[in-house]
Amino acid sequence: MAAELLLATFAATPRRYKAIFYGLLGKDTVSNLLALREYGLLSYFHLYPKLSQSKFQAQLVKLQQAGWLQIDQTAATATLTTAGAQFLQAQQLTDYWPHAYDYWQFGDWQLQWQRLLLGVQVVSNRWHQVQQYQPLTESFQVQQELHAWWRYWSQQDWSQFKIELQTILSQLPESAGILLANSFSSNSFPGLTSQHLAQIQQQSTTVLQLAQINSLGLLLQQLQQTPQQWPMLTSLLPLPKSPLPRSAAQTYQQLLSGQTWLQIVQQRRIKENTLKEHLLMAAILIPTFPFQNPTIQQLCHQDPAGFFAGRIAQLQGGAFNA
Amino acid sequence: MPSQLTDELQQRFGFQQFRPGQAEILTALLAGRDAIAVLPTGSGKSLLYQFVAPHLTGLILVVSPLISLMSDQAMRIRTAHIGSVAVLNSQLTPVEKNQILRRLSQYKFLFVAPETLQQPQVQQAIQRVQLALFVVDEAHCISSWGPDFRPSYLLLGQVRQQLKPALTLALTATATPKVFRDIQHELMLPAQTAHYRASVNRSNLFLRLERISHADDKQVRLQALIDLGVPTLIYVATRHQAQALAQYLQLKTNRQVAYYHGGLSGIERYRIQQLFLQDQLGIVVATNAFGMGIDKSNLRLVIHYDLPANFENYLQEIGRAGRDGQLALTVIFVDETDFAKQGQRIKNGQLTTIEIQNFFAHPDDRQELNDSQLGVLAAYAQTQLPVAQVTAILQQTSQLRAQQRQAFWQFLNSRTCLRQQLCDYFDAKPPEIHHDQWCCSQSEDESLSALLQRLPLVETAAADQAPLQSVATVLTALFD
Ligand SMILES: [Zn+2]
Repeated sequence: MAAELLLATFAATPRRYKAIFYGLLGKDTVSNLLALREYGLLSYFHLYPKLSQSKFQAQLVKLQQAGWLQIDQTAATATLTTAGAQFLQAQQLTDYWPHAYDYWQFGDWQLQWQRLLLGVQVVSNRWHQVQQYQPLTESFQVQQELHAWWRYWSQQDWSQFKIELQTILSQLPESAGILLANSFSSNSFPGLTSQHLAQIQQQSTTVLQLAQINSLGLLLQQLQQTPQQWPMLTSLLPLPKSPLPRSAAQTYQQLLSGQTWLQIVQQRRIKENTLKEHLLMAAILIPTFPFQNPTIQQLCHQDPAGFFAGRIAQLQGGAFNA
Repeated sequence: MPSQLTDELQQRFGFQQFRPGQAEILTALLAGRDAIAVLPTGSGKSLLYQFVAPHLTGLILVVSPLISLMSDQAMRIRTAHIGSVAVLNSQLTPVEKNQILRRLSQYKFLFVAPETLQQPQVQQAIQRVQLALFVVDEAHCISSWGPDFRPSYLLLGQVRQQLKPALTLALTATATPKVFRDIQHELMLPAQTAHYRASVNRSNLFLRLERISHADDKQVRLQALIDLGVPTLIYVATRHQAQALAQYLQLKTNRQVAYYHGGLSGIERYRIQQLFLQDQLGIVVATNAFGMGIDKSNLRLVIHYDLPANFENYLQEIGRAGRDGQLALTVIFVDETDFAKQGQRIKNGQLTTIEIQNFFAHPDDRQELNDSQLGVLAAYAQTQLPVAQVTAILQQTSQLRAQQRQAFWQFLNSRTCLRQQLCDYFDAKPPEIHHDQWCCSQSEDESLSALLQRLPLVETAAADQAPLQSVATVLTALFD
């Protein structure tokens, strides 16, 4: 990632840069998620799963040297300087970030991206009766999913896939549709490398990638709104059923089903603190979280000055809603 | 026997004849002998285990270092219907892995990464089935003398002893006498192991040494070379340099240029390989990440814009040219300041004993190490070798690399036939080279422009830069 773009994750108030790093990387601890929520960066969770800490830190130093960022080593925070805020504004750096893609609704963008590209490659090659070719992605998981998807639709007319793709791409903003289309490739359409696409658009490859993620997000939004209109695409690009990881989702279900804290603890045999973290995650990530639920209230009353009660109060008050 | 083998080759694979070495190795394997095969890339090493499959009862286990190599080989076996194939690599979920391991007896071929093979669960599953053949692909990775040394390969000898395969076959394209000895020794292969070693000499490669004395010499000569208009691979030292040079070249030519390095996404690397293979890309500027598993047969020109790390890397990298057997040109730019810069880079990358010990004591402490150093240490950590041994191996490796680099520098500064020197350095029984005008030359003997005029390199029609297409055009190309 380019250092300048990183500037868009900071503000005139101090922010914990480690929380931003771990958030972009995709570490779902409660304190990271709380920080990201406070900073309005929650949807960018897991955007850069391969981000290296040394590079991230080198970029912060670069931004500091440019006079755009002030770093407080002891508090481990960074703050935009006036010059930094002006630069951010003038260059409209925030606009480059993929606003349309929300990790919690759409899941790992890399997986969705690979599914889409592999799906197009497989159908196109089949269409042209190409038997032997190397799949676009090495991911075994995505390849297996594709096999299952292929088998499920094997009796269908594959021209339906083309129609779905054509319709959905034409409903996106023009630049997004064109960008996605030109990112496809198969034996009958070699496509363009990202380097070449970036060069044509006079962008860096980093900015191009963010634009691709954003376009993918726009497409997924369409699928989410009217899934029945795109049966093939919807099953190719499945959306997560819950933003919560499995174990946390289970805890949350127990809460919703009206179980008391004692019942939850006895059934799960997991440390109480872990279970509380599950509930906090749910409170952060699920907009309809029932703050008035008796079990939640009970936990807050047990230890009103504790971490759990404090976070719940903050989340409920919307004090951190950016 | 050989004529029976040839009949079978024609019937099952549709080839008229064996490539050099194949019949020898197959005869040995079918007679129940272990074998080491040193055969040039693109000479059908995988045919060896595909061929013997129906002759052996039990599983054929292939250890391979790269996921892309594994999936490529697996796909070839599947499409040729030679047997059922499974691939085990680190990208599988535990559930997927267990599924494969439970049904292991139903497979004829199992491809596995060396790291995965260390797992007790994997070894136990293999021990439950009959293991007919243990294949170590890219076996030179086992040797710290080799250019692609991988710590995880060091444990394969032990694994082999535990799994007790009926037969073992080690395959590689690059093996100096030292690497060869390491393969035999580390895999603990018996003295009577059969072997075939092709000479490194490739008569269709013209070797050119281009001495650089001024800063802009490189660019001037590079321009003359890319004006040839033939499929070109340019090796540079760093990722940054790959990107910078590709961007510079894009301004100097109408041909499509791309940069390639380990930092690019899998999809991007895949696409560059595909476009390059289909001649939609004319020039690729790459670090040494462009390597194993990529086979572009009509590559006519390989340029070392920066110095390769050593002799071994040089041989491997020029070997990517002219695999179709037609004349290809390899050019290396020799610049003393590059040599000094390279020395500095190596020095900066060297790990001290203290850093190694610190890493093993506190793996989360990044110290002041860069990503590639951490990568090396992480690779060793995975082998679970004791720290003292890791330190010793790393020290030994860096000494070896320094020796290899010196030997290479000597080669680059000599005035005798380059091909003869190459054979003398790499071959067990070096042939005597008859130097002629199709063999090699240096800038002192003949100007580059004179050379380029007389070399009849076959041109390839290169596609122009493709513009951005409309959605409708793309979909028509994809689905109509
Ligand atoms: Zn010569």
